[in-house]
Amino acid sequence: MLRRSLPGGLRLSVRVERRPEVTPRYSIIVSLGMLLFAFLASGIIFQFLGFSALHIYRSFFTTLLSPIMLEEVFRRSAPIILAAIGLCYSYRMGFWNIGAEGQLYMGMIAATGVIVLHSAGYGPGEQLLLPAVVAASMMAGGAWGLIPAVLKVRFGANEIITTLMLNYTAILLADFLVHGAWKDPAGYGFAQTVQFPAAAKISIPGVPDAVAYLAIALAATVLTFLVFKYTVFGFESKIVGLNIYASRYAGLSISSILVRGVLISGALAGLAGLIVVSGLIGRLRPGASPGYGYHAIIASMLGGLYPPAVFFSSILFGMLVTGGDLLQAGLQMPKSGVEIIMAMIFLATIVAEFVKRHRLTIVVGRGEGVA
Amino acid sequence: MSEDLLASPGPAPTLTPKVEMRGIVKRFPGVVANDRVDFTIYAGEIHALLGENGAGKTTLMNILYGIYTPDAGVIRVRGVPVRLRSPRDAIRLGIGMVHQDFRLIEAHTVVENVFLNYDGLGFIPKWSALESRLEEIASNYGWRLNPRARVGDLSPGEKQQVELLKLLVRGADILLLDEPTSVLTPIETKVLFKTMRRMAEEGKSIVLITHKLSEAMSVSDRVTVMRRGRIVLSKPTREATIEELSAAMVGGQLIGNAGLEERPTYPAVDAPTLQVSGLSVMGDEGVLAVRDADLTVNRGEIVGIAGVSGNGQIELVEAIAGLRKPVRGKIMLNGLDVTGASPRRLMELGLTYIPPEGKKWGIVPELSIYENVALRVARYKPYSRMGVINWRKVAEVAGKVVSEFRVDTSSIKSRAGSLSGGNVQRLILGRELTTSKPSLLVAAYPTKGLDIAASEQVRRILSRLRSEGVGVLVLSEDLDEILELSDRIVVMYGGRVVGVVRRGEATPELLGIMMSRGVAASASA
Ligand SMILES: Nc1ncnc2c1ncn2[C@@H]1O[C@H](COP(=O)(O)OP(=O)(O)OP(=O)(O)O)[C@@H](O)[C@H]1O
Ligand SMILES: [Mg+2]
Repeated sequence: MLRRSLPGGLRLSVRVERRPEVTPRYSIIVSLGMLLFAFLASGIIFQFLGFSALHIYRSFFTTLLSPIMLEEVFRRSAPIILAAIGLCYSYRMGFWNIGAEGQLYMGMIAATGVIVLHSAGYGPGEQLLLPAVVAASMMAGGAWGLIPAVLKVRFGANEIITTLMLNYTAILLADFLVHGAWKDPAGYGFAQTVQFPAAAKISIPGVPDAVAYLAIALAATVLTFLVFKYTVFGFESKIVGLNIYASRYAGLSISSILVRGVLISGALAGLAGLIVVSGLIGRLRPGASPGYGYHAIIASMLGGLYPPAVFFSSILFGMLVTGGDLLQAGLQMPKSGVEIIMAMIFLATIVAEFVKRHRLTIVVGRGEGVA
Repeated sequence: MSEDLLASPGPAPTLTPKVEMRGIVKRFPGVVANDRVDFTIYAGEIHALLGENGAGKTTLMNILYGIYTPDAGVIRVRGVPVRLRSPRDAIRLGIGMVHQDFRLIEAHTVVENVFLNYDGLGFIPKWSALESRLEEIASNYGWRLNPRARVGDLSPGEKQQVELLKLLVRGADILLLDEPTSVLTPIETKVLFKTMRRMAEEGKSIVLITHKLSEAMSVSDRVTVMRRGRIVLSKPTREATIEELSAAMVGGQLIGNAGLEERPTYPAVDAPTLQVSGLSVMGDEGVLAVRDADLTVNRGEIVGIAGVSGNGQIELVEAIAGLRKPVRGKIMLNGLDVTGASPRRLMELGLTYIPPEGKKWGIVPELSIYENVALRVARYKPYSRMGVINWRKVAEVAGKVVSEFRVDTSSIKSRAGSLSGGNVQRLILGRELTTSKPSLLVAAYPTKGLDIAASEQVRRILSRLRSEGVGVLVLSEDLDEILELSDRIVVMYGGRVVGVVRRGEATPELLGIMMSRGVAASASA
């Protein structure tokens, strides 16, 4: 509650009241409003930095919506969607997994490992190569998620810390391998692995890669939507996040639900890693992910953990990531300009959560109210 | 001003209204919780507010406390029209409320809880000064409350005193107490009433919400009855009768006390469904809360647990329900050793448990009513098959729960958190008893917060289950209820079972002595 006296005996007060009910429609309106606000606020910052916000946004969107760039946007959105959808499983259980980036890296590492073996003449043959990299990346991502889940269930370790630490571990592991044992001997000394052969790439004959990736991401979204809505596991995972006492009382197997949920999160992040390494880049190299796992965190929050909304908010982040390169190339603005927008969206998301749950009323009156 | 008015003895309730609520309307989706309510509180009076579950009592008090804003109506405090936008506004006007559920931080001390969020604290609080201030207030009301005690260690009666202290140090002189006696033992209730009387003598005004008519009759100066959001009766207590009040509450037709079913012959003693032996259970404080307890519940028998709260009863039933791991001892359910079994396994073996704090353990307030029913049944057939939930089936049974247990709601899609206190309890009871076929029912405070008719219904259900051969273990603060229901009464003191008394041998006096002194009665079986 805030109260200010205005000149002339007028009184301005802002009332904050908890809202009894939050309708989905209201929730969407608030989110969109806050999104708009984030772009406005970023625009003001750009203006202060000496760039024309209007110009930036106009060229940003006209360029991104051109067919060629749109394909790039979709390609880059796919891993963000997969990781963000995965995170929905963790977050709805109240497991604050910020380790999608690490899980994604582990997916990349495992898939690359299969390719390195294959190119050395071991491992699966051509026909089995795709199933092998899919399985390897999902299992590795899942396993990387399993560690903090088990640490939490067994020892009560705080998952925010463990998942964050495991991010660095995975990124450093990738660096270590790429600079060392897995370095492509024919790569002119560049720190990168051999290229993924065509047989290890996800593709649907006759359609652009971007569509294929997006189709996979869409499938994961729809499946997750159904899991949340219609399955016992989806329902019980929501209960675990909402009321741990009631979960215990109702006889839910909390540990098992937690472990399963985080496992799925990790597996989807791992699959995202496969798309990055086999599709977007074609090989593993340092910094292969520009932070897709972190973008996914904001995207899943912005989408309110509701899969269809998360799908679209992830595409927005795909646009921002693609647009970052654009800023640099076309507008002589540092790539980090988009990070301003991302950070603003993140802040706006947090504010939106508060706004959704509370009712704000501004009253200007003359001396009324309590003395 | 005439002489004799000045000399009039004591601060008899004067006729200056302290609070006037006029034409208050509050609508929630699907219901009118308060429908043009007029409510007046005079200085120095204890005002009992009665009504069935969902009548709108809590809503009215929440409005006066600034939690809700009314859709229409005016509020005058000491003659001045006010607009209350938050509890802060209310407190500034001397209005304080104690909610149905305590809002205290268990890990903190009494003094920390009381002065949390207190305005005149300064940058570095002078704790010793604050403590002595609390001691002063406490001694004024004859409480024995250590300001440095951890709130988690206090009994419900003492927690209530902490809640009252929070209001008193902020200068509240209009106190709104929402079902304060529902968690208190008869002795604690007596202490509270003495406090209330003293406060009234000091000129403070108190609103007491209760479902117990006898309490309203004995302690209040004025009584108001609400029904379906409206005021249906308001008069000085000495002009009211119990019959009149209960008729007003239910809307004309008197509820005849249907009485419990005829008791069949005393059940076969050798058919135990629950056998607890040598059980020791750790409390939250790291000391044994239950020590070496033995307890048997036979099929077709109701066993009551009596005891002053904080003597290990809750820990005992939680251990039986699988929510606490025993340190020592054995629990047998239908001949099977279930010591340390999970709540789920116990449930599947035929145990049904009604938890003590419904809002914390029993429901998820954010979810709808039917989802709260699913909470318990989703993983079983026919509510789900191969992991896929059949929401239609869930909705069907939720509809049944709502209609059979008369959960007052506009739809099964309403949020469970929007139910009134008593209706939350009905939902939990309804869900547990509709969706399970127990061989052992463990019920902690099953009638807490229920109105007269609903309490009666629950007692009837318990005794029907008994005659169907279910073993029932009831924990209640209400000695009359325990005496009415139980075939045998187990008395706990200091974590131990200090005696078992049979129906017929038990009297309130005997139990009272055993509960307060821990003396094993000679009549123990
Ligand atoms: N926040 C809310 N949102 C929607 N409906 C509500 C809300 N609070 C109360 N209600 C509804 O308003 C009506 C009155 O509720 P209230 O809590 O005032 O009843 P009560 O008289 O205190 O009952 P009880 O004795 O059970 O505590 C009920 O139908 C309840 O479902
Ligand atoms: Mg109430």
